[in-house]
Amino acid sequence: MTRRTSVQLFLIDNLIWVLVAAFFLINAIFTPRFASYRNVVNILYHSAIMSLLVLGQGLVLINGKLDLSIESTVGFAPGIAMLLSMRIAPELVGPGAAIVITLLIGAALGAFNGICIANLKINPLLQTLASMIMIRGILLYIFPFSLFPLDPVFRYAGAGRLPGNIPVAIPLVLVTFFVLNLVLQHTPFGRRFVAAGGNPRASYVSGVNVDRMTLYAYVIAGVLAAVGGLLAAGRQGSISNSMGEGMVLLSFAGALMGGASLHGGKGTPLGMLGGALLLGMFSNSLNLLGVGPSLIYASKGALIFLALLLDRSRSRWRAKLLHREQLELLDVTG
Amino acid sequence: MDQEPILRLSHISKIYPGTVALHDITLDVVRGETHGIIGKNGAGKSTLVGIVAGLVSPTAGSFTINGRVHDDLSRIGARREHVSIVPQEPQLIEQYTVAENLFMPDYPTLRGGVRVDWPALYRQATEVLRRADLAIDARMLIGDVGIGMRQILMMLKASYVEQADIIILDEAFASLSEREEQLFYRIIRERKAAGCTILHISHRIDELLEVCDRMTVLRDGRTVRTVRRDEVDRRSLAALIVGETTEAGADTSRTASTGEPAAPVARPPHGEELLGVEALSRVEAFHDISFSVRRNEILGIAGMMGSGRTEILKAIIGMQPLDGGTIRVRGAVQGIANPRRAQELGIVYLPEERDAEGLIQAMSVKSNAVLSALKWITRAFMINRPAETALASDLTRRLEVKCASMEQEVRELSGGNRQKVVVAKVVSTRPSVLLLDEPTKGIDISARRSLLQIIRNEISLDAALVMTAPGVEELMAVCDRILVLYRGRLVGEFLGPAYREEDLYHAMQGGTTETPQDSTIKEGALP
Repeated sequence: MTRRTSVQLFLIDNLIWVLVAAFFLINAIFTPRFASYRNVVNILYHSAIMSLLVLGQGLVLINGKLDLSIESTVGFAPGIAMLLSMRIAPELVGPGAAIVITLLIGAALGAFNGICIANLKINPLLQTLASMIMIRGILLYIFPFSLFPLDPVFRYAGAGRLPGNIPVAIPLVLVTFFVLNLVLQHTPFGRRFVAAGGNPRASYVSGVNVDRMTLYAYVIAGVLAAVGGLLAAGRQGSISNSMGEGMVLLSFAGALMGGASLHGGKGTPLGMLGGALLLGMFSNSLNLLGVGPSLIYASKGALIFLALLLDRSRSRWRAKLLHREQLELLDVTG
Repeated sequence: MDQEPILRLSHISKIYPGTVALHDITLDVVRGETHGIIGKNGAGKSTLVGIVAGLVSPTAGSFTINGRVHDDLSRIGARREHVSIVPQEPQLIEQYTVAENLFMPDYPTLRGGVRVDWPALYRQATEVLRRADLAIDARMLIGDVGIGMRQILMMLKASYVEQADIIILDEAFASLSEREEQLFYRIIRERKAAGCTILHISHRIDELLEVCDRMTVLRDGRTVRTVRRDEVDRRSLAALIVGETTEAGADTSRTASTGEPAAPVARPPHGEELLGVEALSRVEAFHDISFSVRRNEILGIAGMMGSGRTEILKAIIGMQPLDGGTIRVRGAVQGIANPRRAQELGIVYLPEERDAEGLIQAMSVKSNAVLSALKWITRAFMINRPAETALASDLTRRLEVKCASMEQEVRELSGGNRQKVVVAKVVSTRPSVLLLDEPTKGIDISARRSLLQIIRNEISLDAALVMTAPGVEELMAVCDRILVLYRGRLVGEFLGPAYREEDLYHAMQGGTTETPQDSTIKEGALP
């Protein structure tokens, strides 16, 4: 392979980071405020919650499925945990326990989806649509309009600051991405997980427990959504029953831009981090330019479209490059 | 045999909705032998080995591997018993490298199994590839590896990575080139020498005679006989597979295999040539194919899977490119770039994948049947309802589609009736040339019979018809003439109505060593 081709292949495979860098530079040139330390921290902080949903969605997409219900989990998991801690059983459930319960609820909701999809073979779109509505509905029924003030321990992940005024949420999210990236790329479990999404039949013949992988994908997505809810609650200092609403569609945008495909087996957590950051930078930059929230919403729709376009072009460009490479090889060898 | 069996099947049955795939199979496979399983399409070969490999659950019966009895086995359980399978379609992950595919899901690891040891993985994979003298790079993506090579990689995985005691080859040779085939044989022999037990499934007699110690013949889901290599030759094995004695006369054989006597209706004489092809070829698929079909004639193309029969039909209607040759339609040479052009010329093609490509499942029988003929029943941009009903009822009557009403959704019909709806759709445009690719695929015996009769007595009238079939009996039942295809070349032509199934079967195997004495074969006398 020529050097040029391998560089180009590398750029195509990491297209999202090329876009992130380009977007950042352009904005930095036109809006000097954009590249300031404070604004960069701000972007990362505000992308934290969405990026966890992007990661969860991305993992489910790698498995070849999708999950609409994570946005309801964002409200439900911390909501129920804090309801227990503040109203129902305050003497039993401290703020620390509430955090654990938040994560367990996320895992349980994911397991419910995963079992229904992997074992009962329910269509993932319909299953998670059902649970999205169900979970939100239950939350609206038993949860007051909003709950505050929250205990500082419970708020720590979302509102705490480290030296240098860096929000705790930023390293938390970055570490999560790097760890999951390592797991997926370099552990036998991760390779089986990706394989099961890329070609379930072949993986089954090889001896991979494909259904189990689907279950894991949904459980991880559920836990990540619960952590997202924890961060959101911490940041706002309160929990509202509409927390997370409307986030799931953008989670697809981020994951698809980050290299996932609706057919499964593609994408890496680090790519998805890029996708999530692009989403965050995008709204931040429009904010700084003074664009109204409705237009920002519309342009996020355009971003989803861009993601789909990228997904289509990426494979075409790849094929074109490899084809050219072969032609050149033929020329050289005669 | 006096040795202990490594694998024993007792009274295995498998019932799918509507069909009995396996009926009370009992079979012993001796440790270290290469055991062939042979039979026609639909005999139950793949289902049988699928059970042993943990891919199919048996309905009844049990099987013993290495002395342990199982009623049912998951794929993971089968791996634990050291059973590996090389399926017909190589099962590999496109996005992964050769090395990763070889070792997945058991990677060499570092740090107590937590991290994949990539250098070791590539080293070991290169080792495995070297053992088979394969000159491919372990870091190549499977997506860039040819189909035959993928099959070989599956074999290497079973042999040297999974180190299976029982290796199942399920039609593993179907997509191999000759060179790859030699390589494959070499690995099989090496494994045999290493003491592996091999189950070799095929419908090619030559393949089995080449490597097997014993062979079990299946027919219609039952075991016919298990024979030793030295007990049989090509001819006697072909007779066992086909299921009749060599002495049986042509006419009785026809009745025996399909239950249908020769055409009950007098058919009009053949007319002028409607379709003629001259020296058609495409690299790696078929070579120098020439034939001609006349009005009212039914031409059969017989050949094993991978012999190129589907490819030829698809090339004629422009679905696949041609490298050379000419196509004549009603005497005029035509270039056919796509199926639409073919349709304008009156040529229609019935594809193999009918449920997916031919039917809209949630629409009514009526709407499906007239779908291709909408322009004839449209008046002023609206579908003329009476004309639609008239056309649909004419089609369903002629093709004997059994449905509660024409408004019934096609997905509620049986497989055979769905098939007829697809054929109705194809016929509705009154084509002059019909190319039917396995029109009876996947339907039960009685539906098959009725469809074949309809093909012969109804839809072939006033048109030229070319059809293929997975087995030869169906072609024998309806065709006026049968061409035999072997590895992309026409190797024989048989004239009806008196065919001998064995001769045809023999020719399909590429059989030329013993020339059949039958006078109906005209080898080398092709048009």
